[in-house]
Parts: sequence; structure tokens; C-alpha cells
Amino acid sequence: MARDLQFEVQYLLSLTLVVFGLLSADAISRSINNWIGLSVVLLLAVYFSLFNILYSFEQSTSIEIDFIRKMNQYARPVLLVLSAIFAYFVAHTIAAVVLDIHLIAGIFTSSKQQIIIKYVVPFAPIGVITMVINLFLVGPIKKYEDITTKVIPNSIRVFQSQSGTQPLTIKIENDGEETIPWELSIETPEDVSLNADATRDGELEPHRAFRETFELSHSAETRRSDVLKVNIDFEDASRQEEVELRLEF
Amino acid sequence: MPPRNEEVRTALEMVPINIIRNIIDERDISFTSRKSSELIERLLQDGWTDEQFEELKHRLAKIELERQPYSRYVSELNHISSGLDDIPEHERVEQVLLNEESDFDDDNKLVEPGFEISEANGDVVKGIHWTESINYSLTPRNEIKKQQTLYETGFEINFENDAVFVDCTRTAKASGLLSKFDSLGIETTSVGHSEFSNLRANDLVQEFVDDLNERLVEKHSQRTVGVDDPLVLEIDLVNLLLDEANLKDVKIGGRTDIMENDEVRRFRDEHDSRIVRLEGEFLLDGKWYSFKSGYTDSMGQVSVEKKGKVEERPDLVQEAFDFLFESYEDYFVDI
Repeated sequence: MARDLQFEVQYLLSLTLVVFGLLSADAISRSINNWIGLSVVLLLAVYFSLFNILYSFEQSTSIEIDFIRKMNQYARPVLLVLSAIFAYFVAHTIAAVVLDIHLIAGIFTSSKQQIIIKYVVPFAPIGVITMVINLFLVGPIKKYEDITTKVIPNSIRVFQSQSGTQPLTIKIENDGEETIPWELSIETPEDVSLNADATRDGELEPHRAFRETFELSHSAETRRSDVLKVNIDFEDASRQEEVELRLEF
Repeated sequence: MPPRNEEVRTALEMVPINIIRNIIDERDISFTSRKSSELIERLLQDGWTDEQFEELKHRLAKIELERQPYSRYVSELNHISSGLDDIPEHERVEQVLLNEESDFDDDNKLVEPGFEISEANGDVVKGIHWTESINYSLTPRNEIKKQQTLYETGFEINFENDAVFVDCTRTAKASGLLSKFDSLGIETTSVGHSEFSNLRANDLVQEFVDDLNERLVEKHSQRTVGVDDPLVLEIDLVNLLLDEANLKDVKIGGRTDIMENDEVRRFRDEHDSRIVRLEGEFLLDGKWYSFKSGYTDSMGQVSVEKKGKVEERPDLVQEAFDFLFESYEDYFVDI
């Protein structure tokens, strides 16, 4: 996945804002352990310097330097650790602030309980989030990472006869290790027709591909633009592509 | 009645100069010249009987067969469903085809388009599919003219390696014959990598090239000892189909072996593409052949053409084809 620099900067800035905001609010900073907040700030600083070097190199030269590439590799885990610590810090802050409320503080009087609530409980949300990500996101992403779907071209001039129209090609390619069932459906706009079935389904064994070409034609009265939608459904993921159509005479 | 001089001359003019020299030698004429026209003139003076002329035409047919590219479309034989399950496959095929036998009238005009079987045994059924088509074409005077063309499409159904070969130069005719077979119950499946992912398709092509090269080297080292890693295979054209929005196909031609060329690699590895055709040359038994191998939508296409001087041995071209096909079969047909 390509890095989206703009998003990264926005993300880091919002982290910084939240951390400093929490640390500088008197009511909060009194009850939390400032060291956790400071470690987030420290990591942020480290990451910013890494980012700075990488960014300036990327902008100034197109030559690939081994050292830079290596740094680029390290930047990612640092970012992951940073977001994990940040999540811990926020959870810790919430726990600490809640504990500070007199009513609740009255229940957990022993220092052991307080330490558990302030420092151990905040790990729970992180664990839950990681599990959720792993189960519902990383699994399917891994599974469908090696599936390529293509709809070519992305805009077609459609004539009333099929012969003058460029065909629409749809490809589903499986380079993973599992057999993947798929379903394909093409939604054609009004007045536009295909030469073959608009819905297909099948299974793709590893290293197999489905390629099909469709011929388009239309029976519209006026010249106009429209959109054709291609839906490709897998068991627990789906992809949608759009093709711009220009109906001509 | 002896043949007319003009007839003999036209036939001799089609014969390559080294064969003309052979003919002169065979007739014990002592005459040398570097011009083939002078050689032919001398041969004409020698006189030709009908019998000799017939033999010359026979030789010419062999020479033409050797010179022509041996080009075939390939499909894989899948299933024969003709209802008669108790008799051997080749007899079933024969029967099905004879139901649609072609018929000619006394003037050798096609009355009934259909099949003509020339050879049928347990290994192979060979024959010709006769068809006639009417085309309308635009003349230079902008008038529509009717044109009738007779097509003879050679075919071979091979039970040994479950292949169907079609001998013709037009893709449309070949696929027409295959769908005709299909409608008669002789079912074929597609050949090539259209159903594979691009990554796997390119791997298969690379394996084909490696396999062919290895076999050629082995064959070569049986003849000559001491040369390690000789040049026996050269790919000089690579045709790729791209699954990309902007580019559709790329044909890269080379002056040398380009399979490992940077540009070819770049198109193969960095673009979403698969190699659909290779052209090149290979050295087999001390003779060079140029070849094409690849596939169109569903049919395979393999072609071999002998290079160098004519030896009146058309069987060499066939042998080279069979040699190439052995590798082709493994990586394009039976995958």
C-alpha cells in the first residue's frame, strides 16, 4: 500500500493535539501518570524526525538510497507502536479520570485496585481492538490481497451497434492459495444492453483467472452520458467498479 | 506427347538453384553457371519426357512442402459424444464425419460441403473439410461483386496425445471447423493460458522456453561433444496482452535473443500482462528452424519453418514440428 503523506501528517498532528490537550488540562494531568503521556510525545518526536528526513529525501531526489529504504521500513513499526501507546494513553486517562470521581474512588480504596484500574485495564480496549481488526479486517484483507479484479476500459463510447463499440473486459484473477467463489453482476443503465448474461458466478482455483469480454450497444434517443456498474462479490468482501458510458450515434 | 518447354521452364524456375544443380548432375551433364536461368536453359535443351516432367512436379511438391511453414492450430480433444459407446473412438469419429461426407460432381465442383477422410486408424483420423463460401466485395467501380471461394481445411484428430490439429492459415476457418466438430459431438477444450492468472501464465511460458532449450541442448550435445551451453534457441519476438486501461497489447521484436531483455522483463513483470506468443529460431540436428508458438482466444497456434537451403526432405519440417510440439503440449495444452 502506498503511503498517503497528507493523511499521515494529519493523523500525527491530531495525535499531538490530543496528547498535549490532555496533558495541559489541569483537572486531567493531576490524576494521570504524566510519563505515559510524555512517552507518546517522545515517540511522536522520534517519528516526526524520521518522517522529516524521509519526506525531504523523497521530495529532493528520485534516487533510491538503501539507507533511506531501510528507514522507510522502520518508520512503519514505529508508527504502529506510536498508535498503540496513544490508545493506551487515552484509555489510561479515561480510567484515571473516572477513578478520580469521588463516588467511584470510594469503592476502590486499596492502592492495588487503583493501580490495576489505572494501568492494567487500559490494555483491555487495545486488546479488543486488535482482535477485532485481526478477525474482521486482516483476515479478509490477507485473503483478498491476491485477488485482482479489473474492469477495462474505464470509459466507453457506446454506439447503437455492437461493432463500433469498444468491448468491456472484466477480469478476476486469483494468485492466492485458496479457491475463491465469486459472483459478478453488471448493472447497465437504461437503454444499454449487453450481448451476454449480465450475471455470472463461479469459483477460482489458485492461479486461475476469469476473463470475459462484453459487447455493449444502446437504443437511446438522445446523446448522453451514463454510468455502468460492475459488482464483484466474494464471500465476505465485495468490489464495485464504475465505467463511464457516452452514448453516441 | 512431350511437355511443352514453357511448362517445364515455369516448373524449373520454382526449383531452388542447388536442386537444379543436382538435376544437372543426375543427368550427367557437365555444365556450370552461377545463373539459374542459364542452368535452366541448358536443362531444357536436354529434352523432357512426360514421365520426367511428372517426376519433376513430384519433386516440386516436396520442395514446396519443405519450404512452406508447417503451421497448425491446436485444440485439445475432450470428449466424443456420439451415442455409440461400444466401438473404439476413432471409428466413432469416422462414422460421425462420414455422415457429413463431402460430394463432388463430375467436373470436380463441390456439390455438398463436408468431410473427406484420408486416413483413419487407432492413433489418428486425418482428412479435409471442404467448404464453400460466398463473399460480396466492393470492386474499384464501387459495385458489389459476388465471389465464391472453395476452402479445403486439413484436420488431424490425434488420439495418442488427445490433440486436434487444423491446418489452415485463417483463424476464422479453424475456429469454424472446431465449432463444427463440437456440434457433431467431438468436443474440444481451449488451449493456452486464458484461464490462468497472468503471473502463472508467464511462469508457464518461461518453463516452456526453459524446457525447450534444455531438450535442444541435450539433442545438440549428442551430436557435438565439447561445446557447453551452445546457442540453440533464440526468441526474437514476444507478444503480450495487457490487462490495463491504457495499453492493450505489446509486441516486442528483437535482433537477438530477447527473452531476458530488460524491456521484455519490464512489460512482463511490472505491467499486468501475459505473454501470448513467442517467435524465434531453434537449432535441431544441425539445422535452423524458425518457429511461432502461442495461442489466440482458445486455440493454440504452432508453426515451424525450415531455414537454409532446400534438401528435398519435407519430413525434417514435420520432425521439427513434433519436437517443438512435445514441449508445447506440456506447457500450453496439458497443464
